[in-house]
Amino acid sequence: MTGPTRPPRRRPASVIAAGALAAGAFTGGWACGPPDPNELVVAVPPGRIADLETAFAPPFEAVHGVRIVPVGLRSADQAARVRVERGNPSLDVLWIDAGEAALLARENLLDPPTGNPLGGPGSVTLPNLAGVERGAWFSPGALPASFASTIGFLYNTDALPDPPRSWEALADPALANRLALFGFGSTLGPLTLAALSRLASGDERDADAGFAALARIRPNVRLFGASGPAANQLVAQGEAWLTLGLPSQARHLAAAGAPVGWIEPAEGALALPQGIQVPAGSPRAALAHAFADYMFSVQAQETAAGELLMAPARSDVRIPAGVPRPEDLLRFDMVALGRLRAEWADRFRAEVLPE
Amino acid sequence: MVAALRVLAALAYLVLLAAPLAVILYAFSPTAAFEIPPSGLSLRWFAALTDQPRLISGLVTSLWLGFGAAAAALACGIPAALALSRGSLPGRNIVLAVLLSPLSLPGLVLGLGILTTASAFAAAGGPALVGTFLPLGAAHLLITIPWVTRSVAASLESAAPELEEQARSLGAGPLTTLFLVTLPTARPGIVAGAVSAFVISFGNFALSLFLASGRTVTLPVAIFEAVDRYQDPTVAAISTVTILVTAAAAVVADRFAGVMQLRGPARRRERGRAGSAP
Amino acid sequence: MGRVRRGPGPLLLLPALAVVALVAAVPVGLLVRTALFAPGAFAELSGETSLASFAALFEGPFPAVARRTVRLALLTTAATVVLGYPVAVLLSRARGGWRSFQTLLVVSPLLMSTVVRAYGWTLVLGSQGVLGGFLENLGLPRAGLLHTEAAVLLALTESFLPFMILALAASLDRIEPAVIEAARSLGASPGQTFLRVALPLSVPGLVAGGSFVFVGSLSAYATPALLGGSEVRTWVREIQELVMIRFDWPTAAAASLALLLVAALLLALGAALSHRRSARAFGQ
Repeated sequence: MTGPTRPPRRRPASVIAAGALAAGAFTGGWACGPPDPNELVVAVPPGRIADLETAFAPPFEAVHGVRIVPVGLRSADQAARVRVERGNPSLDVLWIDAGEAALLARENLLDPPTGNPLGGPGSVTLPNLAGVERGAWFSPGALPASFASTIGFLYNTDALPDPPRSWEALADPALANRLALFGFGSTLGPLTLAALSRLASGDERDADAGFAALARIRPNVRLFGASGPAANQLVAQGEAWLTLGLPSQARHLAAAGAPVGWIEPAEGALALPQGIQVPAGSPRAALAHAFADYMFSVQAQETAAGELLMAPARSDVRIPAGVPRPEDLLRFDMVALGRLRAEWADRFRAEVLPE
Repeated sequence: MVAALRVLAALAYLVLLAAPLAVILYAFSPTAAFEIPPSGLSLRWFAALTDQPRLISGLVTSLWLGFGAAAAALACGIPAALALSRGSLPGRNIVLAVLLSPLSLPGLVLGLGILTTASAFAAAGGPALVGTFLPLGAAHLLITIPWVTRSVAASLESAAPELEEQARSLGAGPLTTLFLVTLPTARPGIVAGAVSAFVISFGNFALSLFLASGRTVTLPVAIFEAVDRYQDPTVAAISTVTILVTAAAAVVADRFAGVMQLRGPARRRERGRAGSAP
Repeated sequence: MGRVRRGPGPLLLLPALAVVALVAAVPVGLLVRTALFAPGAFAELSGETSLASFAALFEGPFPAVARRTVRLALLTTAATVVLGYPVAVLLSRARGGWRSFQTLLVVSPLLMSTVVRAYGWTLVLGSQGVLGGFLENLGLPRAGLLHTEAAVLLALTESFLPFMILALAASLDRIEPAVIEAARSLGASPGQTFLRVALPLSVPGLVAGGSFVFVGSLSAYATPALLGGSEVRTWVREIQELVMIRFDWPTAAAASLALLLVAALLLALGAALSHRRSARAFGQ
């Protein structure tokens, strides 16, 4: 029995010792360090990190002598974190969709601004809010939307040299099984339904009209996805021919050589209002409010319109050519949509995607 | 029989490698369009990686997290496997199920649960843990320990315990037996568990997402961010680089320590002789 | 094997159990508490206690989703055994650098993020991708497998095959060549040798690998979400929707606990099976 014992001598012992050491370092070593008072943790949709870092953060960091630390989280994930950490958030500032923000405001999880034309109590006064258009306010208890991105038709130029130009045209039988739309796992799901309801009946809350319109489009729908990027990829590959997407992403795909184009539908592109909110109880509240105020300044608003091609919240900034004007967008009552969301999700599940 | 074995193995490799190979091919595509056969080859997406510091730092973070989690999981998992497979432990199967069942908790649920715990801890006056590596590391440890425990336990179960009894009867102490007989015997399971633990931690997304802060951006999170912004082959390029870097690290480790060889050739022959001796 | 051997003691379990207790026990406790509130959006804030969230799992679309998920997990487990066993046998017979290379080849797909691999599958399985082009070359119409249960099954099999192979190879490696040679020299055919000797001895590896694959595919989220389209709904996709969209946290907690229970039962069963089989194998 001496043969097998020779070669492995000491190696297992050293491996175990190294493992124990690593276990200690692993659990203990990284715990050190309290939150840095000179850091501002900003939750931001993953695809917008670069915008925050390059367009918005540098001027603010230079003035306040702090560092902005972005955390990439989709709006729904941000909202889940704020709910779980109720009143004791690890995120100082949110860059979040208005729909999720309206729900958080209803649960008193956001710092409410004063002077909200939609009413409700306010505790935080931000000077720059005086210059914000009334249409940007969407909910009591929440800051107005800092800006709105525009959702239009992102399509495959090889398959659709002459793309559908209206929401109505999405029911064209030539598109059979070629649309990539969104279910309620995406912010765009409820917005699509609201748009169809509004166009069919004039009222985005009239879901009967919206579901009837959706039923006409249904044979063309390849899938109701949850991920915008995945839908864009399907269109770039030619698996799907059309989805709802951002002009900036269409432009990037086209520049990278993919057969992708974007048009604004005749009835208007969807406004996806979004922007800065401050969760209640932020440990760096003063700095967070300063950042929120900065995002409504003329400087930041011009950056949003000029560099990010988003519809601004102020009317006194230049809007470059090619960016839809706020009044041309399909805008919805985000509070009503938030209230209806769970009900619509159940109905969507039962009528559109029966098991 | 051997032919059938080969055919099935080839099919297995096809299933395993089809998707990764398509991604690697896409990484060299001259445009964002995927073409079969490719219209040309280009390195432009690899060059574009220099503009993506988060992807590069994410790769480094994930490698450290993966190695740390695997090492810590070995330290916790090997003793547990010994307790479970040597001697008669009452309720052994239940203990094993308790250790393994957290694997079935969806990352979303576990992530939110750990976040709730850390948040309550901070609300009760404790230090703020969210944003540090502690909850993330602990969560990764939780999901890697089962892989080590189960693999090592399986290895110990497959091995004849008689070998250890013989060692003991020849006068070896318990520790000597452990290090010179039992653990070498379990080596295939230890290696399999360590490799599994590493890749599980390396690839975990959901936990990293919910426990993420600005300082703890892992590679899967950075990839998610990159995909969310632009859908071009940049992500395919970083994935290709990841495989190359990790493979190079594995080859180096293999050269020096033989970690990938579940059992080295020299020792195999010796143990073969030892096994036939009794 | 009938006599009781003195073991190294339950103290060795302490580190692993401590991690489970510290990290998982509180979240699971929270799940139990949340599940006991009445189901519905934001219901946990109202504080009304009931068992209705568990009852909600037996109505509506949930039973069908649960059945599909379990079926997918069983099929994935079966597929990984059938495909993984031959690779594990070849792997455990390989030597030196060739063996390292094979191990690396088997593990390498896992170094690619799940999201990226799912994208790879859309390139492979799409009607405009490899599969569609292949069919066109055969003179058939372009067709694809995207957004079907088959696509999810294929991708899940890919994701878990490496773990099954590693577990099986580790177990097969413990089988001494001498044992196989002895069986052969006693006149057993290769088939008999496999069925009577190698297979029973590899049961622990089979159960260990099977446990991981089954539990892992049962609780998979990204792969079904990215490749299953809107039709292939699974247990965790359902939980995700309950949490994120319908805000029905009590029902989501009940669904998570049910998943945990199903997994724990199967794991305990597997552990018992594996322990007894190996005990019997060595007892002979």
